[in-house]
Amino acid sequence: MSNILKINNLSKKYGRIQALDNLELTIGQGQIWGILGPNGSGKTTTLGIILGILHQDSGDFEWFEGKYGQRFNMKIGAILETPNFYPYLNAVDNLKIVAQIKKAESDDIHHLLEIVDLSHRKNSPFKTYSLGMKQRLAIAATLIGNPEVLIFDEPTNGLDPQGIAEVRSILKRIADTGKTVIMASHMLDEVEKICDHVAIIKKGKLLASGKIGQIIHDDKIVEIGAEDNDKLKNWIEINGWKYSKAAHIGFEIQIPKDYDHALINKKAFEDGILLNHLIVKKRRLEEEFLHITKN
Amino acid sequence: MIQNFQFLARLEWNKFSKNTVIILLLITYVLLAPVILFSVKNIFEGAPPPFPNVESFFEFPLVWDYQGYAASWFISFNLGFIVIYIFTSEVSNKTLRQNIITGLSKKEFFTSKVLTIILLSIGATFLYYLSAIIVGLMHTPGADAELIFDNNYAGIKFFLACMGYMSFALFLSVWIKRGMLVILVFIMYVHILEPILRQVQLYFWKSRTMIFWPMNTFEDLFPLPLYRLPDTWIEEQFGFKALQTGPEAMIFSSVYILIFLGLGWYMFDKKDV
Repeated sequence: MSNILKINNLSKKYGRIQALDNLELTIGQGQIWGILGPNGSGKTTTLGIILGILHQDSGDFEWFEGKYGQRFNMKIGAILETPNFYPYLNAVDNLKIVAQIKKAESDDIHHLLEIVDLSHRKNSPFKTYSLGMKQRLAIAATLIGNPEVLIFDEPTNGLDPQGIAEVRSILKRIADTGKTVIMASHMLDEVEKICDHVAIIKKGKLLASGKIGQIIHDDKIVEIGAEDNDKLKNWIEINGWKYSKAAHIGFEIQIPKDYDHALINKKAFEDGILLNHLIVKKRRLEEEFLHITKN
Repeated sequence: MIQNFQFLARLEWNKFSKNTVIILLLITYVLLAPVILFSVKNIFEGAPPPFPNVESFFEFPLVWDYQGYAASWFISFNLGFIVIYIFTSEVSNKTLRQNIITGLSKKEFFTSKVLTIILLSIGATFLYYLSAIIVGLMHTPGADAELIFDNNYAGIKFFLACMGYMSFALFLSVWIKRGMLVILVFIMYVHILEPILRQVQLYFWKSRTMIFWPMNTFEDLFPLPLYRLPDTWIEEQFGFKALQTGPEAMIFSSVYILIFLGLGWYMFDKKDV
């Protein structure tokens, strides 16, 4: 598998703030990467540099193993931060400009507008669009010229739940076509749903990167309690589960995703512990993310 | 290279040909310039000597100078604003950024703006030529080719005046980036700040260099025909002529145009978009 992007020791400062600190990352063909980090962690700065609109202070990066030289942008479809178009032009005219710059045929514009469900508004000026429509037009724009790599920066930011669902399903479909995708996000579940690889950055530093399953555990969290909590604690330790004290009652234990939690009750009963409390908890993403970024 | 120019010109056309602001600025330029042109007739009508007969402004060969003078006001406003708009709107709409992300190089982007300036200058010069000839023919009885083309650098001068004001506008746009602020600084500098600075210079250093400031240079391509008269008086008073000669104005305008475009590119290339 060939490398699509190799980032070496990238650093950038804004005044005294270290926006990026020796960032290293290698992205292979066909991988779907999520760049995960809190707001202000350096995601957009990273994307800005590898797209050639921001200058790094040190370090370098190489696209497509140098195959296209400085004109790598022609093979990349990208949106950064917000969808940027000519507000007075309609969707078709805006996409034509993108096609012209990409030196691509503009024949498939109408097809692309269908993919992102904007055909019915293709003749309205961009400035009349809702944020969700703008975001969808931006996604259509990235697909012009059939680029090898797609880059999305917080693609669902500011959208309502319906808009988020629409954009995510479009992104999922694009990811399934085998293109290389790099997506920045501060939402763990978004990255989890769409990506197969993840890089976690905080304050410009890369904290972890690799296959998503290796970085983010997908275990189940179950809260259990019993009459005798000391005995329960011993029992949890014997079973070798990770645990922590629950807020209200008993303990939170971490079990593999496919472990049937009904078995916990059965097992406890067999071992002479009567559970009076058992709740399968929703994973608290923010907490988990904090846990990852803390170390 | 020609192919690339064609590509960039077409790109600019697609970006702005449907833009209301640009259309309005162009229409006012084409329609209002003649109005300004003829309004002087009323102002100086029947003025006593030393004012020359205003009729002569509309006759060959003086019509070339006068038309150039009247239009240069419009160049600095309309055409200058067009340039400021086509650059700063791309900054504020972040389409400059998106253009680069999409695959346009910074050099291509800047070239597309310079190309627009050149094309606008050519178009405006063509209009100027047309209107000067029509007005001249209407007012000059028995004009022949020799008389008509007596002022034969007029076309080049007009082209340089357009290029001059617009290069300055582009330079300011790259530097300041924010549209309204650029317009303010542009107007302030052209019409207020530079004249004041020249007076300050005159106070401390009485020298003919005071007439070679950039905007004054563009202005001196087409001085109001009236000003040629008091110039002899000024020469007696100050020891130098207050107007640049035609060749001087053409040479220094070209130099300023190159400086503004060069500085503009230098700053644009260095800054993040």
